[in-house]
Amino acid sequence: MPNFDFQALEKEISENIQNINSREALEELKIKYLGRKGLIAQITASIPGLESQEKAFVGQNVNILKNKITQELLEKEKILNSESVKELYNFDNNLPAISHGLGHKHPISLVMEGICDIFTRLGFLVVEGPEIENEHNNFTALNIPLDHPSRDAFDTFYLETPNSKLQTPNLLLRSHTSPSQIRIMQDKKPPLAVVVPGVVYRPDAVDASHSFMFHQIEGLLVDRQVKFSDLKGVLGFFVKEFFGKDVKMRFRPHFFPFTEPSAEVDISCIMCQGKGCSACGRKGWLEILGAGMVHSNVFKAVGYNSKIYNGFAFGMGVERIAMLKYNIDDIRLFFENDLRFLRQF
Amino acid sequence: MKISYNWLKEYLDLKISPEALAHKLTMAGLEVKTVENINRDYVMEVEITSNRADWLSHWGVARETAGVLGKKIKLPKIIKPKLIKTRETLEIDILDKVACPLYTARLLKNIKVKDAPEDIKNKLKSVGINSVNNVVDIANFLLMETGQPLHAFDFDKLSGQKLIVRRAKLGEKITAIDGKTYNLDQGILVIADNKKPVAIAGVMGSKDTEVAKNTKNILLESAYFNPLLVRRACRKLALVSDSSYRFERSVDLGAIDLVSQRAINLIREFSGGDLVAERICKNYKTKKPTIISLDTQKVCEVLGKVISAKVQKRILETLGLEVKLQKNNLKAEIPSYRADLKIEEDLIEEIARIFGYEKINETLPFVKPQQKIFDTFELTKQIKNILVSQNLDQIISYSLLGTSELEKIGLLDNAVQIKNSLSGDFKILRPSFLPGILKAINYNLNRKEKNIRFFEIGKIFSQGKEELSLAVSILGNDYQGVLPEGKVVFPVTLLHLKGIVELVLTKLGINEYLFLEINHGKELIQGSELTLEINNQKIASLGKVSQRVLNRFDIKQNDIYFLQMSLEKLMPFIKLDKKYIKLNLYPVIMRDISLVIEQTINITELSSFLKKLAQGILINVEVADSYLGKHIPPGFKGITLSLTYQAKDHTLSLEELNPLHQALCQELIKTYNLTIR
Repeated sequence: MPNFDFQALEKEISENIQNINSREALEELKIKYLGRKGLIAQITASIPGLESQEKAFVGQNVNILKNKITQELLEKEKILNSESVKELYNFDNNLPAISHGLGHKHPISLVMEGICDIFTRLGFLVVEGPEIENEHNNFTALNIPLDHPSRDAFDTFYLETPNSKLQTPNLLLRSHTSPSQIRIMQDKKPPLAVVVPGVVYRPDAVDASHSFMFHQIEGLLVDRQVKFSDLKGVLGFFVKEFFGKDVKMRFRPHFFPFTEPSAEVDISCIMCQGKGCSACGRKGWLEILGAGMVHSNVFKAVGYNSKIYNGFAFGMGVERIAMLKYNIDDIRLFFENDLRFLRQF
Repeated sequence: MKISYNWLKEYLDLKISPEALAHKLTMAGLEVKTVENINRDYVMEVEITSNRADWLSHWGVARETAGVLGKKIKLPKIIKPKLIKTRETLEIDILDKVACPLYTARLLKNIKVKDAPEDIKNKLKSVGINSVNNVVDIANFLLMETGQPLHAFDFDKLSGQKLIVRRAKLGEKITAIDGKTYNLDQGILVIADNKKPVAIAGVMGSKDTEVAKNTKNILLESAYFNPLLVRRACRKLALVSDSSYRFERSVDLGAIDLVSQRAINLIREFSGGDLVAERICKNYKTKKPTIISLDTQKVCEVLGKVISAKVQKRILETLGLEVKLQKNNLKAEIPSYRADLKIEEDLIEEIARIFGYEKINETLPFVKPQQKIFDTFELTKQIKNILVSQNLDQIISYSLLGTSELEKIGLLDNAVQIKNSLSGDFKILRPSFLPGILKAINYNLNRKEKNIRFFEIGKIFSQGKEELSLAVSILGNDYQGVLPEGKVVFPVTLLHLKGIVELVLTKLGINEYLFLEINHGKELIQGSELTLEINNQKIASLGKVSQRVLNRFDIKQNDIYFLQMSLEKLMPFIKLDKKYIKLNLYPVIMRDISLVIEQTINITELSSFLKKLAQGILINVEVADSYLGKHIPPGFKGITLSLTYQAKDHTLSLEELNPLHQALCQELIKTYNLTIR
């Protein structure tokens, strides 16, 4: 005959309810005490088998107990709901944030895309060309005679010709992206406006400011009545967009076999704002571009009528510009691929 | 080249400071690199472009200065030296007339070789030339003054008292003034006496015919030598001189005889001597002076600046051109020392640079919009964006590798080599990205990086062809985090690399592709090597880099995965257009099947089999779980497939689905060697 010590029961149940700290545990106790086959149900089911005196006693107390349990469970539920997420889900603000992370484009890529973007806004198309070239595209068509001092400035890597009975033209690694302009002009009729980004190669010993492999961007615009002032305007726009509104630009007469008139283009030194410092050799100006009106011999080589069309071309070294923009002091960093360097961009 | 400010002042009235002059010259195209104050003079170091051979002298720079400052230039007058009539014979034979169209020789007898006058010595010193004796110094002085190289022979040392201008014979040698002996051949032009060469034409004379203290009679040469021949001789003999530098760039035909006369006058003035013979061997037709016709309106149009015809004329005149102007037509006679001026544009440049580039405004042209093409630049930009979003870092490595690096990966055969590489480390065009990426990985591993995720886009080369390609390499943990209850890591596997590839393909609209497992036995990759095929074409290879290869690169880490994909081959399959597919709003029902199947079964095939059986209501089959436990027999594996059912036109009911699903399971058991758990 079950002799229910309701007081002891109540105490035990209260403790159990106090100790729980999760909803699952709460549900478990709910079922354990108030469920179909739970404690209260068991006690209630045993009532019919009791003496009449006990019946009343148990019946009364089991109801009180049931209400008490229900009450305490409700209160506990309220507490669980209102407790901060911190205590419930074990969050530690001292732990590092978890992220998949984002990778990094190489700074040369960023600079090339940035420069091409500026010219795209002006209406230029971005086109790429092959790295392996022939002497015609790299020199002859650009009015650079093969046996002349002006060729000395364009030292090139030549490819070993394989053992073949065919007479293959002298193949080389392009020393500037200008040959791609020749290809484009042979491919399309004017008017056109293109920029050509790409890798170029020169037999230069590697040091802090030289690399045998580097990147260039060339531009070409051909149309009717193109003016030298247009060239100044386009490059002036580029300089301001890329380096900032306060940067000044100046054109200096120079010589390139493929342009006439030719110019070298300087920007006011971004380190010292043109006052003169070690970065600009105390001159206050940094050379960043070569440019000029396309020489008529170049048009002749591609079959353009220079009586109707003229145009301008320009070229810049991407590494040099990236080094100026980001204040990088050694060109070798671009090819070392040190993650501490790559992650900065 | 060094230019003395004081020396220049002898030809023009210079009131401007040396620094200011240097700036003006630079801004007009003659770059002055430095100005140094030396001994009450100022020396400018100028950099001369290869088209302006006429700047290689003080006369040339003086002419330029006159043009830049708009001043008049006064060059010394040259009076023809008196020829004393004697019976002296002087034989000059020009055997190669094409190589030497003009040769002047003057015989000066009874001179005294001594110290040169102070003025000459000072001028030479100011431009960094050492003093030797009066004859040599005057020759050097005139070289620096006029740009015309001269050479003096000790006449008594010439055998047969004659000179022959000819090609050297194979086997002939010459010991030059620098003390070195050079081997000659018929590609080289020499000045010879009747026995042997006494000068490499245009480059350097022989030591035994040079003018020395006891020389009494000199033969003075002033000539024009073919630039190409002089250039080739210099390259072949690895010998250059101030003279050869000028001959290579072509000297002024019009000045050759005059400078010789001036030399004779100067030598006689300071050391006596009688001019007893002279020969002028001219083997070319004197051309009429070049006249360039220029439309002054065209100048304004090309430059985008209005410059009056008068100003244009004045500019050209101060540069030494003779100009006739009729309305808008300008005719300029080109002096012999301006061989660089050939076409209209050359004159336009002269006008623009003297007028001042800075005076030309900036205008913006109208650029006609052009059709955009999806081209390699756009493609690589998109791929870079996708890969960066997957936490991959872009590297750029050298396209040229060394033989040892290629041997390490077994790809030395058929690789394209460079003829004139600067070092053995950069001699071969890379046929693969692997060495470059492994080098970059090793570099960073040595600096304690643990999780490296690199990609590179560029060209790889084979048989003289280049192919735009992508490489990806990952190692370490793909993902990691520290939770309160402990660290969570997910080390990279080949499946991660496969995932990166699938992302790129999906983003480019490519949905039909196959990953085939290949065990090549090739050393490069070990374990699973996968090949990506699209339309039966091999597009990419991916796998784990073998330990043997890693050891060769000194890499201790061993879980390095590498992928190389040809973007060139990928391009034709790219489809960027999207079209909306109408949403199916009927609810889906999911069912899981746990199977124990043979390891070799291709799940893609099995899925297709199920989908066919289900007649359109099975829309997806995915591997949801995998297990290799003690209960799985060898050669088998446990997987759970998650099936998604959905009807196109009505809500699928359980009464409809259950028998179908049961039937599918039965077919599976019948068709494949598997059990359902």
